[in-house]
Amino acid sequence: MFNDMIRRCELVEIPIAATAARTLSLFQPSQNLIGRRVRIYAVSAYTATQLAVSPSGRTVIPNADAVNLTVNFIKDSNDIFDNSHPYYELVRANMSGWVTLFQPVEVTLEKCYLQVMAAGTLATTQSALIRINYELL
Amino acid sequence: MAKPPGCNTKKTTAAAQAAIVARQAEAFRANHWAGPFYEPENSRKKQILVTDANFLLFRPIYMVPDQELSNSRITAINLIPNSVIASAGGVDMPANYSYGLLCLVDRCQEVIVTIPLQDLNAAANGNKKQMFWIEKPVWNECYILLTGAGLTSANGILMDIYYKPL
Repeated sequence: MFNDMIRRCELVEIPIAATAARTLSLFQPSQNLIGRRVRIYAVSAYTATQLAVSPSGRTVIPNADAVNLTVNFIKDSNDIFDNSHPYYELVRANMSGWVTLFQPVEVTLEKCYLQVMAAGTLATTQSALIRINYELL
Repeated sequence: MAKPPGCNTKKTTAAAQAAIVARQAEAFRANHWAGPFYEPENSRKKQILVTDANFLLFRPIYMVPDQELSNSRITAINLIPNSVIASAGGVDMPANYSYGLLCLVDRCQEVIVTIPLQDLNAAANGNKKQMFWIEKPVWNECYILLTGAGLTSANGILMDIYYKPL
């Protein structure tokens, strides 16, 4: 049984832009990643149970709201290669410590987004957090 | 019933599927993107206790210089909560580590790893240690960044660092 091995990883913050169902919130990659071509091979998501406050000082979404979000990853070619991936499933602690591995793929982080499926207790003062394991191209 | 033209009528056998999975697993292993989760147990281990007089938020708490770690490959890091070791070195371990991040820095002064501390707590993640393949980090420039209140001077962060000298 394999689990991820980190060579490089970065936290990507996704401020919740709106809380109504079917609204989208774009990834906000850190300065470290902007303008760089990256290929990701593993992804993990976080709720307030893992990190209460994001690196930018925003409150992280509560664990109960993980079921109200899905994640869409966009390839460099603008294709969606992973459509509506449940956020809950990306939270490692919810999956007995297993991290979601991908066949390595080049992504355009600025175009990846979260979709709200139900408002729950989400607020626009909160952020979702995703860790990507990547390599530079 | 006959399938419409263009449909793939070939069935993939179980053996062929297993071969595909094995090939992908080998690629992950060869590139050090993934590995068996028991692998860190083959490494050396060093236990580090991080303490601070204030544990101020958004202020890096740098690691104590360690030439051995700076010249090694880090293979895994495990943070120990109070359910595993209650206290060490005169300070108490916290119940969880949901307060901050660990940042690892390479020789080019670049932060190559930013990861929440709680992700490194195997006890909260199905007892699976977070594995790494980080060669020669500049250990004294690696740091912990606290983003949320919770740790006091009575607490410490107890870390098991698994490594292989290079």
